[in-house]
This record gives sequence, structure tokens and C-alpha cells, in this order.
Amino acid sequence: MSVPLLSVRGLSVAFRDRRGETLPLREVSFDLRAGQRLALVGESGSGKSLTAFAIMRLIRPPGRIASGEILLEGRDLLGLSARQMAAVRGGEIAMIYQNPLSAMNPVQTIAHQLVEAIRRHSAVSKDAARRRAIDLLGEAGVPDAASRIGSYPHQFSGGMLQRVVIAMALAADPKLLIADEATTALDVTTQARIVDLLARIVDDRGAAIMFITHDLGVAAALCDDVQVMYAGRIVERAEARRFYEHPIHPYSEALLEAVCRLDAEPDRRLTAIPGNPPLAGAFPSGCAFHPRCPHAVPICAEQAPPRVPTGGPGWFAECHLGRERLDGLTLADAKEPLP
Amino acid sequence: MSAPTTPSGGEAPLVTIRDLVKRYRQGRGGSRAHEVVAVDGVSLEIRAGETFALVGESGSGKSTVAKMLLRLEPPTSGTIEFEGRDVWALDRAGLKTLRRRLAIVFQNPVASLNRRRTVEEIIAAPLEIHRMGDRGARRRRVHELLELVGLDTVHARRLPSALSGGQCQRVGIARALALEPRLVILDEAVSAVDVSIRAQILNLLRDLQELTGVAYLFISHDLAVVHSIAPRLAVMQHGRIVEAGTRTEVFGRPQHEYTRALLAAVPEPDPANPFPLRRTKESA
Amino acid sequence: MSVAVPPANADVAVEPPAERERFQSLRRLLRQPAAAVALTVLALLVLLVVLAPLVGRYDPTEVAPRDQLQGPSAMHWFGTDELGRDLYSRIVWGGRLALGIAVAATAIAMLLGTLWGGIAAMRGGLVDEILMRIVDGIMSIPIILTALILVAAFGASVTSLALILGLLHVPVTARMVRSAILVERHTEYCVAATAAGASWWRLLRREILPNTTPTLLVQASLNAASIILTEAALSFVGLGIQPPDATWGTLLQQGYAKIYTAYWFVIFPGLFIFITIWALNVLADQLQVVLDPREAHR
Repeated sequence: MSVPLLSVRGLSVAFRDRRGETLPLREVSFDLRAGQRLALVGESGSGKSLTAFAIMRLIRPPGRIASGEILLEGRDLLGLSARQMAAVRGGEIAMIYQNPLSAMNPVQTIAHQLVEAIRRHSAVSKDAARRRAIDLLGEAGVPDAASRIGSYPHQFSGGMLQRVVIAMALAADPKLLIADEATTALDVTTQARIVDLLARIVDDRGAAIMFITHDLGVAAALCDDVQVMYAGRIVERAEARRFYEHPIHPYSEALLEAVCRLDAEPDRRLTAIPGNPPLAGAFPSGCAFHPRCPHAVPICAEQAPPRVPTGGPGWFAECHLGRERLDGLTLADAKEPLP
Repeated sequence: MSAPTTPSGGEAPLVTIRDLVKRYRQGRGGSRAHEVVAVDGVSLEIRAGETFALVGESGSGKSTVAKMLLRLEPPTSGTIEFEGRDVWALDRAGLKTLRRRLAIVFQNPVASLNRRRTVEEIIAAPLEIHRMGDRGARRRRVHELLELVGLDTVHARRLPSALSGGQCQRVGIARALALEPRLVILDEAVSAVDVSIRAQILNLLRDLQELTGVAYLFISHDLAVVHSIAPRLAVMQHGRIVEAGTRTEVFGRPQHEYTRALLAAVPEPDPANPFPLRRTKESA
Repeated sequence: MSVAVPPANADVAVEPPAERERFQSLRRLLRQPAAAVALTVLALLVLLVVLAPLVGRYDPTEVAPRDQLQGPSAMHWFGTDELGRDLYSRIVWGGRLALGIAVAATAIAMLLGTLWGGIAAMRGGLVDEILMRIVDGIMSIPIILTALILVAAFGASVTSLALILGLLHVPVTARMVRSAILVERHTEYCVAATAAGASWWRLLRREILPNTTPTLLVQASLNAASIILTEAALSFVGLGIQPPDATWGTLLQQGYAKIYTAYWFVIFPGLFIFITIWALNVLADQLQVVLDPREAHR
């Protein structure tokens, strides 16, 4: 197999506060292939946004990257100078944030900001950059791009502005797009359109996307691999179809059951996960999910769970019961072999 | 189409809204000012003890309806009756009663709690305002409410910043229930909490309704959640109700184009068919 | 990797109860070096003037013609004035007056300013319009000018100085408080309180003001600094506290007359004014940093 586009190895992030040091991200390792669409799913505080910020090297004091490697096409981002890293941000890796308004400068026109972004990463004339900016806006689905490019951010609706932000992210033809809850703040109909747009863009350009969300529904619409985070660890990773049909980790399973579905029978009690997501600094011992897990056995509280391979490339679940749950699944589906 | 679905049975509805209109004047100064119609002829009825959902996206006017019902913003025209009395024609005593029987829970669980007051002070505030009981009685009631919404009494002494988002939302619900209201407006009350917590809160709301007989006006843009909790609903777009009816009617046979678009946009956790109600690719 | 893993039920043990969290901002403030220095300086100054009878060394009004205009020495730390009075003692006792007036005037300014700005913000509409136009009117005249006229008219006793300086700082306080309240007024927790039936007065007192403490504290420090300066300026032009009592401003003025023969006479009062103003301004700056909720949840 060739070198993955992005390879995160043993990444830990530490935060210092008055109680000492906490590790909200604990030895996270995963790969992302070129063109892959990966969903990073988890509750608030699970470390999913922190992972993205660490990859972009945007962790600020009192936080720091405590250990690990972040390899972009084999090159360790943690070893780059500040200037080299600045070229990577918005260059090879571009990020799309939850709130598009805060990602834009309110007192400058869209044209100005887009042209600047384009010229930061390639030596082209202002006119050429402007033409390219209009093309990008068109690609991101901003209608009438040529005439709207002179507008200011506040003159756009939330959904339209998110398209502008996406166009800006595409300025340097990135190999990896990181979307951090990029559709969460949008209306449902707008969200559906932005999801379609992102899917089309990564397809057309062959770019990879890391789609950070807490919504398993949106993740299903866009991604071909799902990675679930809990308490600063990746607890399961699998190809999307397999994940949604047969989640191995009890947390993944619980998360899927908690989703409201249109085809579910109404007025029924929903299957909720008891308790609250743990806070960094107060992660439970052993498997961090054990206090909320319906299947927990004594060992779950005592030992960190093993990484159990679940049958595909890079698929795994971190669970003491992973093997049994996997076997149970294989038995049940004996007639129909796993994908 | 926009006529309210009339409640069956002879009992008078808890809330009756007729031809409600709200216009805002935008921009100061005469000549350049223009009017924005936020709510445009809304009529609906909410029965005692039921859950009625008002569905729409941002700017549809659904929260403005709530504000007028709460008597926080005057309507331009139209009437709102709560327990048969015109909300905007109440005398002092009538207003006090309205404030007791009508409460609200907001979207942002953290912003809706005063960050410098303890959980106990926050939940006790409505009791204090209406001079219910002495200090001891209020404290007992706060503990009772905490238990009711599934929080521990040790939380009473905490500040909101020491609680998780889900816990904050429970505090908001406890505060809303403090005065035993007949209607609680849930304004996107589960939209900002995590999926796992959302299910907990929805179950809690259901349990509380069974226990206390409170009615909910459930304001949301999330049709999957509405489907799960509300037997009757109205869909709003651009300040108008474009479709209203029972859950079976609206979800089973959506009549209006906008309702169908909303339904089509609901993503299901199924990678093989993430938008099951989408008819064609182009419609997106 | 050695990280202490707290027990599973750490929830209760780790989270601090509200009481402790309330003093967090003070602790954060003291952790800023500049703020710690400023607070220490202010505390020492206050201690000095409060304990004036004990640490004053000499009677500040005791005339000793033989000792006139002596430079700093072991006997007279800051030297003596033209009547041979001990300058250190006069500064300590003068500080008692200067800081006393500042504290009283700041209290008046904060109390009335908060009320004024609070009513304007909460009532809105015509009330707001009228109250704020009055503020604009008063603020369009320099404070020192109005102060001169009022002191000339009503005399320069400690009480009248405190009242005049306090009242003159009401408008600037009212304006700050009003804008701070308007920020809070439409937050969800305020709407929730209104919906529960809270009156505007209760809303202001119980919900909003606790959340504007940062602004209030900052404004109080700035007011105190401005009041001390204005009082010193009044005394400098001879309209402040009358002899034989003296504040720092009076001493500065008397020293100024002898600037070529007795440098200490002007240096030491000036230094005290400078240090006090500096400390108050640093405190205001640091308070702003520490109490800003965006900073708090770094």
C-alpha cells in the first residue's frame, strides 16, 4: 500500500490548568487515504475538534501537543517551522468551520479575501486571481458569482456564506478538507445542499475530507468511513455501511440507537445513553465508556481495552467485548458473509 | 390549508391564536425604512396536555410567535388567547397568572442560565418572583424539581459552568416547571445538545408531561425529532403556516412543496440511502 | 505516560462548588504580576493613610521655623517645607484626605451612575432618551471646568469636594453601565426571567448587575483615578482643601513654588499622585483582562 495522505500516530494533546495537566486527547492514531471521505463522530468533549486543531497545529497554550506524529504524505507536520506550517494551512489542508461569519473578515469584501487567499499560495496576477475566485464561487454554488463577489460577508445568508467559505478553502486546491461541524448551524434544507456540495467537490477534485460532526445522519450522507471518538480516544473505525449496519463498540451502537428516525414508531421512549459524556481530567479508568455501557463487565473498569481488528483495512474497535461481539455478528450473518 | 386543525371534543383549547401578524420596521428614519413581515396571519390552537410542534427554519417566524404568546413582544394585529383570555388585554393580576402558567426553555442551555447564580438560585427565581413559600419551602421545592429532571441535589450549589450542556438543559427545564405551568414553550430546546443527550431530554419531557399534564409548544427545525414527539404540528415558511395537521397527515401525505423539501432534507443514518424522502437528485 | 486517573465517580470530587469558583477571578487577578503589584501598592497606600496617626511620625501642622526647607534626612525622610513641617507626615495625612475624598466620591459616582444608567437601559424609549441626553450635555463640558465653578460656588470642604467630584463622575459611569446592561438585557437568561414575571427592577438587580460587575469594577478604578487627579488639580490652583490642611495637590502646588531651591518638596507629593494613578489604571486594565468571560474560558 502506498503512503497514506495523512497519518496520525500516537497523538496526545495536554492542557494545563490549576489542577495539573489533563489529556483531552490520548494517543490517537489513524490514517486517511487520498480522496477518502472520513467522518469523525462524537459528542462534545470527545476530542474530535481537538484532533482537527492539532493536525492544523492550532492548539494554543495552555494546551500543547504532548506527543505523536502527524504525517502529511510522509512529512511530519510537527517538525515544520512556523512559516512552513502556515503554508500548509489553507494550502494542502484547508479548514471549514461551524460559524462561517466568524471565519470571514467582516470589513473586507469577499473578492478581497478570496483574491488574498489565492495569491497567498500561488503567484498569479490580481486579475487572474479574481477570475479564479469567481470560478471557485461558481463551483461552490454561489449563483451570480461575478456580480456578488464585491459584497461584504454580512450581505450573505448563513448557507450562502458557508459556500463562500468553502470556495475560500478551495483556493489553494487542498488535498485535505477538514470540515468542523460545518453544517451544524445551518437550516436542514441548507445542510442537505451543503452536504451534496461537499460530496461533489471532493469527488471532482479527488480531495480527501475529514468531516467532523455529532450527527450520524449527516455523516451517513457524506462519508465512506466512520471513526467514532469518545473521551479523547478513537473507539471504533469502520467502513460506513458496515458501521451503520453492525456497530461493534457498544458506544457506537448506543449512539446509533439514540438518533431520531423518521421511520421509527412515534411516541415511544427513545433509547438514550445514560449519564453524561465525561470531562477531560475526569475520564473514567479502564474503558472510559464503562460507567455508561449496558454491557460492561468488571474488567472494563480496570484495564484499558484492546484494539480489536474488525475485519477490514484499518477497521477496529477498542472494547474488551469486541471479539465476542464480532464473533456474535459473524455467527448471526454466517449465511451472508461480511462485506 | 392554513386553517387550524380543530381539537376534537368540547373542551376549550389552552391557546387560541387567530390571524396573528407581526411587522417590524427596519432601519431608522422615515423614508428609507421598510417593513419586514415576520409573522403573516398565523392561526393555531393548542390543547391542554398535548404536544404541538411548530416547524420551520430560521427566519420562518416561529420564535416570533412564541415571543408574542409570552407577551414579550406585541403583535401588529390578531389575537392570542391563553385559557380563554386575550394575552395582550390582561390586567395586572391576569398577567401574573399568565407568567405562572406559561414558561419557556431555550435552545442554548448555557446562555439561558445566569452564569453568576447557582443552580438553586436559578430554579428558585420564579418561586421568589411569585412569593411562593419561605426560604425552606423553596429549597425543598428546588430539590424536588432537581430530582424530577434527573439531577442530583449536590448540583444545587454549583454554577452552570460546572455542568455539562445536557445538565444545563435539565436545569432550564426544572426552572420552567417550577411554577407548575400549563404550557411550556420549548424553543429549539434539544437542537443544541448532543445526540445521546437529546434522547435523554426527549424522554424526560415525555415523562414530565405524563406526570404533570403540561402541554408543550415544541418549536423545532428538526422533523425527525418532531415526528418522534408531536402528534400535531404546523409547518411555517416566511411567516405563514403552509401546512398543518396530525403527524400521520403531515408526515404520511405532505401536501405543501416546502414540507416535502424539509422532509427530503432529513438525513437518516443509512449510507445506502441517506435521504430516503428525496425524490430525485436534481431536487437538491 | 503517567497521568493520574481519577476515580470513576470523580464528578463530585473534582468539580468545585460554586463558592470557591466565585473567587476564581480574584485568584486569576493575583496571578497576573502587574495586577499583583498594583494591588499591593494600593493596599500599602491605604494602610499608610488609615494608620496615619501611628505612622505619621510628626504632627503635620507643627511649625518648626528652624527646620525650614531641609532636604531628606533620617529625621525628615522626605525633607521639610517652608515652615519646617515634616513633608512625610504631611503627605501621609494629605493622602488620608485625598484618598478619603476619592473613595467617597467614587462610591457616590458608582451608586448614582449605576442607578442612572440602569434605569435608562431598562426603561428604554423616552426615559432612556432623556436621561442619556442629559448625560451628553454634562459630558460636553470638561469635568475640571464644572468642578472649578461648583467649588467656587459651594466652598472646598471635604464633604463638598467629595460630593461635587462624585456627582461629576455620574454621567461617564451611567454611560458605561448603560451599554454594559444593554449587552446583557436580551440574553436568554434575562428573557427567561421576564417570562417568569420578573419586574425590570428585579431583572436589573438580581440578574444583570451581577453579570456587569467586571465593567463596574473597571469603571470604579478609572473613576477613582480621575477623581484623585481632578482633586489634585483643584488643590493645585488653590481651590481645593484650604490650609493648614493639605492634600497631595496642595503640597504639589506649594512645592512647585520652591522647585529650584527644594526639589523634594515637589517630587514626593508628585510621586504619590503618580503611583496611585498608575496603580489604579493598571488595576483597571488587568481587571478587564481577567473578568472578560472570553478570557476566563481560555
